[in-house]
Amino acid sequence: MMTESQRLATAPMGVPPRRPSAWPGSLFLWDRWRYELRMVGIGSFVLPLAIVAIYLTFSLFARYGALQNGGTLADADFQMGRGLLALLENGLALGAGLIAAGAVAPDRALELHLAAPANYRVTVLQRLGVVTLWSLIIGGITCATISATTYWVFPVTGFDRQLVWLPSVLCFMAIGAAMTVLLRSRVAASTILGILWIAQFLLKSMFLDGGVLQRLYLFASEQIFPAILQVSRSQWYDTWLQNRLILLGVALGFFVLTALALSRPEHLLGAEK
Amino acid sequence: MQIVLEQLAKTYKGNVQALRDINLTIGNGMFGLLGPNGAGKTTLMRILAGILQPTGGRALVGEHDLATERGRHAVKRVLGYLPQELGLYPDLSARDFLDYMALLKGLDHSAQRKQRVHDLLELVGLADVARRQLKTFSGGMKRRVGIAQALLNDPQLLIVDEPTAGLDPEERIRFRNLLADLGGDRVVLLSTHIVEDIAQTCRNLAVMTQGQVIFQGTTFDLLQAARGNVWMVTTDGPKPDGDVTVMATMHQGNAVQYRILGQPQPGTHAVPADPGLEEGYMWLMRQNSPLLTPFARAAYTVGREHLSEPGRGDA
Repeated sequence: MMTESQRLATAPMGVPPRRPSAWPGSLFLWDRWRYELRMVGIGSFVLPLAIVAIYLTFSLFARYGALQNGGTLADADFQMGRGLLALLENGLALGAGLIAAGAVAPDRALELHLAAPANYRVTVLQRLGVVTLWSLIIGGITCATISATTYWVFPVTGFDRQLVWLPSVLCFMAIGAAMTVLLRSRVAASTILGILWIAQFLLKSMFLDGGVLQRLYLFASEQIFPAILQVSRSQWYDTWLQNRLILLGVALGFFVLTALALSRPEHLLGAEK
Repeated sequence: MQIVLEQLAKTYKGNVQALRDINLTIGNGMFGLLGPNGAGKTTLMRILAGILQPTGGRALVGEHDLATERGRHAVKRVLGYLPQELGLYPDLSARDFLDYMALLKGLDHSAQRKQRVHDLLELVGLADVARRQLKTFSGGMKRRVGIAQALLNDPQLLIVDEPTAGLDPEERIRFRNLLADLGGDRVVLLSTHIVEDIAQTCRNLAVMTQGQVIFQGTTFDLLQAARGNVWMVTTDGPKPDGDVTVMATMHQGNAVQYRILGQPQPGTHAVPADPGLEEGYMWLMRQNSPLLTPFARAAYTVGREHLSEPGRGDA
């Protein structure tokens, strides 16, 4: 005779529970996306907005300060424009990197997930995709909004304006994700991102001296501004564009590295130690 | 369902041999895997769960070969797994956690999934707290959530790694009984270093140490291995010394009663005692320390010839 435990453990489910979906954890299920959004956490969605708010506030203060110091309205708008340029290239990038590191951080139920039919790598890339999309939406909207005002100061037009923020945001995201997976630590990856971010300012002259480092400089728009206003476009545009495209390639490389590292369960579990 | 392991090996990076030459056949019912920490039990569990790949030999779960991606995927579809270190999402409720795990296991139909989650929460006695966040749960409650998630897909193979670690006695007994109930028509693989858990639930078991299986048989066989090697010594003098293991010490007024495992008889005043499974296990570990020296292997092999004969003496 069956015990209560056995009866419940084999309780009918309408469909035979031993024949689960051929595509477990299907990407097309809203329920699945709903949970992944919860796993990513509300903080990941708030952080970029908070960064926009902080930079916007400081930009307004800069504008106010310029007026208080006897500057013209044009000077004040220029200061505000610089602040918003920094938001686009520096602020959003750091925020995006941090949320990417969080999205791919070692899952609390990692071993359970690895033992489930749903592919862990797909799950993590799903989460990374969510925060990437969110960062792109915030970046795109911010860029478009600034472009529509008189505060756009960087001398490029059209799609080039998206290249002011897109490469640095994607680079920080990809590096943050790769470091988190490789080091199995969100904290370590966040620290690396912080150091990388600060290094862009401290080592500015070294990066801008030319050569390979110039091509890899993450803040090549904001940090060469407003000096480029003093020279002809031909003297900086090609190098700047090259830098932007190379950074997109670097980001792609780190994203691929992240995906590859996620397919090594022994590394993820720390068993390789 | 049957699990067949033939010369299974697992070597990690740096040439660390976690498993060596494992040969096991496991059928339906409860099967215990005993061994000290670091014996390779968890690595073996992870291979059987399709998480890790073996680096040598063969591992078949039913007709599925765990050396292939397809085989591992197929095993995961009929697997319930409760790892040693059970990680949960602290901000999810028990119900949401099980719902999410059910999605990962491919239970896509929403209504059926919710019914299954409800049934399992009833089964493990957590229906009343189903909406509470997991971070508010005690260790025992978390273990019960763990077993519930393992049963979501009505697994044919249930692997539980150190399931009773950290549980109080009442929880432990409840958990053991639950596992025993589930072992009827499926393979339940119970890995532990707590001998009592095996003694109370499993008829068949294997003992591992240093990546190798040093015993496979019934609990009775293991118990018999220690017969003739367990002694009671009551003394008001010094503690018995020599090549013996003191299994228990009981103070009785001025005298102390020792339960001793060893050979030969530790003095003429030592009285033979019936062995328990823990003593069988300890005897086995003594025989294999250092692991499988030619002498120890020979001694153990000689002993095993008598194992299935109740009442026979030395192992």
